[in-house]
Amino acid sequence: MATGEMHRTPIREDVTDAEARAWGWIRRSGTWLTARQKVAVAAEVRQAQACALCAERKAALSPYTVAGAHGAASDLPAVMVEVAHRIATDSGRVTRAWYESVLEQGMLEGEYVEILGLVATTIALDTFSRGYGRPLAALPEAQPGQPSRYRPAGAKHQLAWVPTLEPGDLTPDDPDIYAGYHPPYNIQKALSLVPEAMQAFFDLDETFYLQEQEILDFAHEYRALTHDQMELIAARLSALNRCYY
Amino acid sequence: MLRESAHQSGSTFDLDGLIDGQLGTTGIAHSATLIAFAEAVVGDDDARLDRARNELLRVMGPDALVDASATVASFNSVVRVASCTGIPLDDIDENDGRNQQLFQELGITGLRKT
Repeated sequence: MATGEMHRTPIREDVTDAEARAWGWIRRSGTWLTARQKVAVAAEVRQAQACALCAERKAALSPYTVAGAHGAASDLPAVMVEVAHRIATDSGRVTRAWYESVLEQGMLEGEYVEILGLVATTIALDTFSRGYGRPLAALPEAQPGQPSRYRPAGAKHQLAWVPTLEPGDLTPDDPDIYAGYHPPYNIQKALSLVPEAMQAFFDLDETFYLQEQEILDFAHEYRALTHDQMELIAARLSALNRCYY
Repeated sequence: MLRESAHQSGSTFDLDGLIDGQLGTTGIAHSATLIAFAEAVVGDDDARLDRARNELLRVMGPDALVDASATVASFNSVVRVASCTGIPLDDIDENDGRNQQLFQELGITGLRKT
């Protein structure tokens, strides 16, 4: 069976449902980005794979020694293209100094976190399709609407480069983003500055991997792979992506 | 998590080999097939991916293909959330002997978490 050919292996219904929800989030107006910008970020994730600048930077000893312009697929501001392409192609060498440099170029912290959530979600969707052996989904049409520009009042610089929201700092205005996490891991707090992005990403991620309560339940297997088979893949992917976490 | 799940199942693995891409011997069933598939999915060689997918289908079956694809998708994306926000590792007991062994294997003994 060749890549791109459809085959008859059934996909779990919870996966197809989660994929639909994720594309629905991408096509809707966001917290800091318009719907059109969100779909454009997804397009840039795909474009980054063919971007000459990204390829040159990835091959360089340090990506910070290579200047140039990205081959963009959209009319997004250059700094948004830079963030989308860098996270898509070389996330393991992203530094705090680079993050601060994109803020100095005018990007808002909420925009950065929302773009990160969009890149991660698009990569998850496309990686699943590639592994399974089906064509990538067509990008959705952007829906009308305006960004909410909602920033949780309790979000602070405390844990990471980006502001995060601790469970104790949730206010009645915030969605209950930590329901089901007892307590949340740091990875779940990472996108909490933009609650919609956090919820959208982990909705898909936990459907692909395991629900929170299933991760440490070694007495039961919930997938066609065992816990240790899934963690073997996780460890190899972390090494390939140079991720310390 | 790999260490804990392997501990629970009684299987073994070589962490150094896993990081270096030289898998060697593990006690985890179908580990070579799964690693070959995961590497092919995130690579750019379509022919290699076709071979890896077909081998996974042959030895583990169609449900495993779906869940292996989903697991690769999950970790190929969540690593970016971790790396690009600067979140530190969660609190862990540094005095636990198994953790100390893990830090030594990873070469991060003495590094701070933040």
